[in-house]
Amino acid sequence: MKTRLFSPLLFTLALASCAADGTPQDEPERPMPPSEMIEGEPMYTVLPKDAIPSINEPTFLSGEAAAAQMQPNEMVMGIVGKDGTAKAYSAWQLDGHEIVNDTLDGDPIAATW
Amino acid sequence: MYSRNLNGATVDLGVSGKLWNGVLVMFDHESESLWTQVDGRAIKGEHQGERLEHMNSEFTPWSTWIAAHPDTLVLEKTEEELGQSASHYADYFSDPDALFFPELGEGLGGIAPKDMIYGLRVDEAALAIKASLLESTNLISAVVAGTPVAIARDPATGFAVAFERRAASGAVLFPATVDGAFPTAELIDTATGTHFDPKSLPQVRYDRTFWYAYKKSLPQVAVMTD
Repeated sequence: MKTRLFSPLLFTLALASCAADGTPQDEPERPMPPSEMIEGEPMYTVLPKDAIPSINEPTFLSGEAAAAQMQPNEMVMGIVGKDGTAKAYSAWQLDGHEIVNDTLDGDPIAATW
Repeated sequence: MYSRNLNGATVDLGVSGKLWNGVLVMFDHESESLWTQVDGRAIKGEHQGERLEHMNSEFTPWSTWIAAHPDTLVLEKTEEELGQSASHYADYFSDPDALFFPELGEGLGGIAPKDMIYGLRVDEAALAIKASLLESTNLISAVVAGTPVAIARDPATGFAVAFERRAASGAVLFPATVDGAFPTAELIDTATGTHFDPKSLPQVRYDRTFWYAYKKSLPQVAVMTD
């Protein structure tokens, strides 16, 4: 879980902070006004729902088989279940998904990035 | 990571497209409630005020994870996802000044917005510890919401474990040694001389994250000063 605090949503905001000619602006322009205030803080709607597709039917490789798809310095979220099953989720891969709806040792879990 | 078991039913989560306090907002397909990722709390909808059960996890390079867990399963990539050589957001991670909204850096006290912290949670209370502090000592004891807790870090892997420093007897435990930090650290009940493995004690939620996101999401957070 690490938790992570940036997302393709933010990437979208970064793009929105450039002028039409692509020049970065000192003060980022909001892509739109806050859609609403929650607990006194603005909530921004920057993309449609599901524009970033969560992974809902994840498939897994063994560590050995996964070696070909992973870089040594690639950051992963790793977790171990109650029966000892270990699972790793590439943060690079999750840049484009944010959420994996999964199970771990029979328990429904969400890896969120 | 979170459990998707909510009141005995399984929820399916999706990306809402919304940001709150600079943080991803999730929704559940069943009720369309909105959930903030840092806290795992519903901020709008039928489940407002409820929390998903958090599950501690590691954030670590693949090489470290596979060495520690050679039997691990790994989320399979699609063909389009192969060949990536860095995060799309590497600059955001490495640049201490990179904030998408300037106001996210305001009102944070003496810690820089992008400083990495470990946050310990007991009920509604939270204690933030600068990652640099834990990384220099590998074992920190504290009391959060009246509960004696500690977080230990394996200097070899960076893996952490957070736990209650309290035996079933109610006795408060103290680290036996700092030198033998996790995973070999033991806690000792000084009254009886009994030693405990941290992993045998009730685990405590911890998050490793940027200070600004933790503070904005949990304004009540206390800070351990070094």
